[in-house]
Amino acid sequence: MRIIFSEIIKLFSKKLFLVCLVLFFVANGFVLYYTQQNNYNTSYLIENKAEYESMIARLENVSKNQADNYLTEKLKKLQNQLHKVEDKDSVFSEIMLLQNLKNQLVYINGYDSFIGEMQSRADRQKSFSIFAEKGSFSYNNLERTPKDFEHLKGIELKIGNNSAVERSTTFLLTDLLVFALVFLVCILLFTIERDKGLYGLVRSTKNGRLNVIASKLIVLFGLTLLIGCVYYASDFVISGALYGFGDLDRNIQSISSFENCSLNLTIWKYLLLWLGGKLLTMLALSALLSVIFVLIRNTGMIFIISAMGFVGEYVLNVTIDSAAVFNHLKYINLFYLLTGNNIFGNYLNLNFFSQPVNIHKVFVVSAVVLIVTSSLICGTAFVKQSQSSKNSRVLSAICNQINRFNPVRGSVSVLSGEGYKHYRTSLVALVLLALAFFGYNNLTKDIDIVYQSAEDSAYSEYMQTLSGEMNDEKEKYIKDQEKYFAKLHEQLDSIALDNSLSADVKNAKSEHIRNILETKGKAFENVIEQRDYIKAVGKEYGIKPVYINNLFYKRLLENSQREWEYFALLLGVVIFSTSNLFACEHKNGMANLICCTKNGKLRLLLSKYVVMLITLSSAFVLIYLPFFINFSNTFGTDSLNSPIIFMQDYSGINSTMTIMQNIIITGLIHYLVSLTLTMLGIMLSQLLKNNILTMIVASVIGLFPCIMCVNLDSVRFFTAFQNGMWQWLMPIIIASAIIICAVCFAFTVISFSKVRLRK
Amino acid sequence: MKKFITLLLTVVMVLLCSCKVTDTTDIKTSYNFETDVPYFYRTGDAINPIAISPDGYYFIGDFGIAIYVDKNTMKGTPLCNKPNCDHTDRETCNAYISKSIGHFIQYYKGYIYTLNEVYNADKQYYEPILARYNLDGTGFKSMTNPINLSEAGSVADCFIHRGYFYYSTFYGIYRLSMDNLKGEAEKLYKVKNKEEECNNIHCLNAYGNYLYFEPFEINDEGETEEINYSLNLKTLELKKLADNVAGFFNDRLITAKGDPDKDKIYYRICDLDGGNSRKYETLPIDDELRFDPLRKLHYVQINNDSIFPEKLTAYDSKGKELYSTDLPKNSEISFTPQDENYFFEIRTQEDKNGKAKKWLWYANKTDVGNELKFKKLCKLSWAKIELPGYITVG
Repeated sequence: MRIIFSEIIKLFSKKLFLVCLVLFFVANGFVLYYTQQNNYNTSYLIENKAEYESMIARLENVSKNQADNYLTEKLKKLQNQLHKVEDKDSVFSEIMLLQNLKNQLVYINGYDSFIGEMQSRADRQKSFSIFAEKGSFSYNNLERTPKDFEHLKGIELKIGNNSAVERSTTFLLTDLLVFALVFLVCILLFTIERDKGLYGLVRSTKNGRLNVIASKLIVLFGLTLLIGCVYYASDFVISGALYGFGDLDRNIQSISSFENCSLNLTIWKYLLLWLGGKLLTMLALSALLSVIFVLIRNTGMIFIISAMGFVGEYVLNVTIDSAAVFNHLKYINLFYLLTGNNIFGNYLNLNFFSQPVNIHKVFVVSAVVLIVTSSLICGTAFVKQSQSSKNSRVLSAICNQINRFNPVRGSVSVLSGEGYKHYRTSLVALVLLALAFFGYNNLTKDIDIVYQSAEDSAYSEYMQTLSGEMNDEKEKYIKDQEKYFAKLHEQLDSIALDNSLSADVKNAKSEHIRNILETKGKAFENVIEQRDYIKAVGKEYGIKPVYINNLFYKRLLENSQREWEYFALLLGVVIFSTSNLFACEHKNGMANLICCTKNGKLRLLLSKYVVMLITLSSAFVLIYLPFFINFSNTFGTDSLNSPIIFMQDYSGINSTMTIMQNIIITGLIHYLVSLTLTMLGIMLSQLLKNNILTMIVASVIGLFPCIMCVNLDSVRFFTAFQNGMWQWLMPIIIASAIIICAVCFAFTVISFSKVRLRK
Repeated sequence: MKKFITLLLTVVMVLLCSCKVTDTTDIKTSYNFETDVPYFYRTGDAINPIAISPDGYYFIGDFGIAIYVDKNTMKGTPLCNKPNCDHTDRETCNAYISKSIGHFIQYYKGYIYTLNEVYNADKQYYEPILARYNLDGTGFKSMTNPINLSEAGSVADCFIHRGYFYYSTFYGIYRLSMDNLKGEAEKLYKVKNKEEECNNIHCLNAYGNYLYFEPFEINDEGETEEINYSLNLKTLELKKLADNVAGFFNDRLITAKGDPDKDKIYYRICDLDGGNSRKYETLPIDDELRFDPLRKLHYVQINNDSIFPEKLTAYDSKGKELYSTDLPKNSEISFTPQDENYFFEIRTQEDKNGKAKKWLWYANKTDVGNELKFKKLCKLSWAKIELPGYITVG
């Protein structure tokens, strides 16, 4: 028991842990509040909470028919009023509230037949030969499903305020933050002592092995439960405060998104079960992490393996088809289990040897098995294995082989020493090597355009002729094309009137012409629109109109997925590379040695910055340049010097900057932002003195906002150029970046200059 | 000991060799249900989203939903084994097995094949793959690599026939061996002078060891020319056909040529490669000849205005009228493919709320007297709401 308390005290004595605990909690609450307030689909429920709840109260004590009649009549009346009244917004809000209740009522009225007819639907499906084979999964599933829903027959559903339950159970950020905190707890419990070499001492004591690991696991699991409870409960409290809690004694099936829930539970009981599911998932995750932290003693490698596992799970979840033979990997998957109400709020049977097994049973069993086996493996490994930090054996073996042919020449340069520590000891060389492969792939992969439609293809063909400055020859070409399409329309009319052709021939010929009109014809309409646009822009800005192939250059400039991927990758590299920059000095006690040498601090500090800048620049070049070269090789560079405003998407840019200038400015902004995060990472590495802690905090500051933006296509740099925001946004970004960089540098210098010999 | 091992190895090798099953389907000419494309569902340029299996039919309905129709009961259901499913969510409903615009579906050797799509982030394009399912819609397996369409536009048509997966793009015809679907596709034909950026290969079909198609190409005079070809799938010998391919009957090819001056259409019967052609039938130019795959019967679909078919009449091979039916006037009837037992068609009708709904209809050819009666089979749209992003049938 004493060891457990000691572990808890150790954890809570870390200021960083407390700061993260509070900071994440506040951030979680703020983001939940902000996103709900600004969600167009739900904000009307927040603004009219009192009215909505009074409407519900009014309808609670009347029959469903009466409620339906009331809602229908009221809606009709308000819709008629909408065109007549001046205060349209309030009427519109009332209509939306009533429509919300009406939709709930329609769902509730249909639920009885959904449940009541399930058996007959299953029987009907079993009458088809493909589902009728006894012993097959389909047959067994048709047998099982109605039985699982049987007990829901006759349950009473009520309309009510469902938003708090729906929103709080589907908020993704909480899962990410709880996971980050569990990861942080693992670092503090498992790596700090190992990095400081304290295990040698701890493990040699009487209760130094099994008791220590048992205590660590108890603390890890306990804190996981505590953090999970607090965070998930806070989501419900915040959502409830925003939307109202509603009647929690209704059946969970009263909420339409829980139509497929097969558990007969009230809402509050369901919420407890949902919380239990989340906590069990987090416990399983923490157990798995504990195994990784104990088995792998290289801290950088822990981060890499965890990240790979995370990405792997995501890929499996997204790419495996729901009807695939091995769909188990899609559903017994971290992302599926953590998403919304998938465990208990939905109904899914998995195929185990043709037997349908419900996902919540599979989940509970696999989570418990994972927790038990992981704990056993973790305990055994901790007791049996040495827990001293080690570098990668493979990497060491490779380096030793290389060193045989490249003996140490006795350089004492601080810069080369830093380079060695940074690239070899901190495994940054491996990361750059991986980026080199990434760059090579980007340089050589086939990015040639495959047209999504024949219209696009025809447009590109037009642009082969028209691309470049507008001139008389191109104008004549467009007039010729206009004549060509007029002729096609005439041909179509003559085919329709020609009785000498058979129906087949008529169809084939007219179909062919229609095809041309729907493809090339539409493409030509786009060309005409583009011509009119560039003429108008040319006149407005006093520059010569230029045709730009929008399809090609949209691919270069407006790919929101690539912009996000590349930037997230760069941030990932920055976070990984900066994390160990100062941490390695502190962990091995080298700081004590360095601080007593002449020029030991400043020169070392500057060397670290130089090395990190080289890494950042190399990573930036390896990530961004190969694709640009590949693009230039594939599509040419003809239009790079054309003003970007001639692309219709950039009509709001208010500048005559060329495409090339736009690319350079965007690149510089990306570089500047990543440089800012680099400076921040370096500072964190010095302040926190631990590489994984640095990674976690830097990820939360830099990478998590980036992850939150993955699906927000409008939050990209190119959109700022398109809507003209760049003119004020870029100076703000530049000024902020400079200030943050300066502050971080100052903090780092001050903090490092204060390093003193330990007494 | 060495002798014993040598003897043992020899016996094992002989046994292993004898285990090889020789596929003899390529020797026969006649239609083989297990291995051949159901050529009778491919009418002219139409790719009818229908497959026939030993026990039933598979149709692709609205938004790509697969509908199974049992041969015994002639009743339809979505290909989904979940009684709690409302067939609205493509992610969880098993019935959405076709995710391509062409809505290809075919039964082949115990499985159902469709065309699915995977997203290629580099090219920002959905690339087609051949997907295989168990007959109950479970057990999805991706069979091919994403088909590279760099010079092709899109897969315009495809089918499986005698051990090969054939597909046509805007500009060419390719095939992949079913034994090596992840291998390199073999190019069978390439359009020489493409006219436009649209599908230039039409009327793809196969019968026996021959592939038939009609490319639209520009001739030396700069005019679009429609040439009919037959391709011997064993020797890859390409032959021009004099007339359009109209159908197959009794293991022979029927071709057609219209004479606008005489208001007649002339049908000829010939060998599968187009040789030994002789006169077969002459009909008014507005009529279309369709063939029953097995019986010695043929059917004439009378078209009064070339858009909406108005009458369907069955004749035997001697020209004697057997039975007929009047089709609803000015109805949208999407296709009338037929097999040995049934005609199928899609009719669009308004429901109680005035919304246009598509229904599958069928007529049983075996239990008719003088009239062919079409009956409702099942609806084609099963989702509660209109699903975005996918075309509907018909």
